[in-house]
Amino acid sequence: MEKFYEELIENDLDPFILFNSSGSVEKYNKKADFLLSFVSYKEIYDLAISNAPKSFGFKRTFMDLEFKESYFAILVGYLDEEYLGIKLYKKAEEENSITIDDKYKSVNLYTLIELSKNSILAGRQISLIEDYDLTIPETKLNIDQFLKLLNELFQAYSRSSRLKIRSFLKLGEFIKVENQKYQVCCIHLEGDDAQVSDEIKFLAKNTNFILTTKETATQIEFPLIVDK
Amino acid sequence: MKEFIAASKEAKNSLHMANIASSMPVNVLITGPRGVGKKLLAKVVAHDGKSYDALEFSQLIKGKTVDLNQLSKVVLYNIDGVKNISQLIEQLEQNDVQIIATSDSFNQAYLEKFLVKIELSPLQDRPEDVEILKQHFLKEAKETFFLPGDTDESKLRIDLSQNAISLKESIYKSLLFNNLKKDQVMDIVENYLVKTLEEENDYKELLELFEVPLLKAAKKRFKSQLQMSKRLRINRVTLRKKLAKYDLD
Repeated sequence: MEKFYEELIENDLDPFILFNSSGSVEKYNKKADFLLSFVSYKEIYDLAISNAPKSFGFKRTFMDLEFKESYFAILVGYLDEEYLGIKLYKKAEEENSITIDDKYKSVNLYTLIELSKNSILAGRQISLIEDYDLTIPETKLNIDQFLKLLNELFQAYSRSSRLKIRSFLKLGEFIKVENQKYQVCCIHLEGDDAQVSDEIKFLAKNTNFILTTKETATQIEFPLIVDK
Repeated sequence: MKEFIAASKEAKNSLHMANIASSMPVNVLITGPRGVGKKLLAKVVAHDGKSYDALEFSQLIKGKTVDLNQLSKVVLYNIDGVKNISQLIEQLEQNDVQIIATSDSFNQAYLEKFLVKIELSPLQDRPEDVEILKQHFLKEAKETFFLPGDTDESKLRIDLSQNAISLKESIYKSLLFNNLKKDQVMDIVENYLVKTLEEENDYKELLELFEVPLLKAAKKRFKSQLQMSKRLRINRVTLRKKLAKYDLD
């Protein structure tokens, strides 16, 4: 019976993490494995501690959380002094359905970054640190949509005194488009002043880009679709 | 000037952007004051794209003398000159026509329609470009006026108020004026007087044509009024009166 519950948790669509009394991760399920690839366990532990029930038992707290995916509540509980568990409830969202139409053209990513960066940041006193993975080949993109999103993001960082721009391929992750798996291409921006509005997030969502923000860092992810 | 001059870091960056943008199917807006090279840069972006004054183009569309289906891209100069510019841009977008436009300023009404923006600053902020342009116009003017030999560049009166336009004009004027002979000056004055003399003319008033340049030149050459009166052999009181009359004191 215990085995059954373990399997149930392991295959749950929501992440579950069990911490021991010293704050280390004791167990976690598949979804938590994915979650912990971009959020530190310390952050989740702090979240659990600050929302734990006052005495033994479980407490559900509704809150909006954004760890690449969106969550609407957490359940934190403990039955003894040994273990503390947390479960995050994922928001039911429509899956990203990317369709490649004739507006997708093969393009060099850096030329687009260059155009957008210069269009928006020219003349600004921003110290730029650029770190591009030049092995990323030309990828199919909707140029208009991509430039629009980049322009908005550079505008959001235009008050920063420094801005770090990175591009890289994400290892071990894929984006599925029309039943085909593609590597994930990322552009990461980090400055000291970011005004990434909900409108920009909305724009990204509507244009098939995955946009995540954390403090003053923003990351855009999209499939690397290479012409064969 | 048939090519965009890029010696300064800023101009090089703008040219680099124009070259990149030339291979992209996106709308490009080039802004900057008059005479900074917007049209030349637009040609870099558009290659063989047809170019029009924006107002003229909007009238051609109204008159249906331009078939938008036949256009893949178009260069529009001075888009601020068209009142319903947003409508025109929309019409072009509906027909998948790429727009490369020039404007004196950024206008929020249509700014978001241009995903690539290139801003050119005045020439006075780009001394490296001024030097190259100066040499180019100087060579051109010397060929035009058949002036052999070196030119004393310290005598050139450079005007950058209208960027390359005023720079060219000021170099041509300087070169022309610095090489005028006495009979040519007299011809110019005569020509002017033939055109302006009327039935009744006050001789004393027309004297300013001679007196103002003379007094200005003497002031530059002899510095003080005392020296001016001595060298021009004119009474000091009379000189002072004349300087006051022409606001030269």
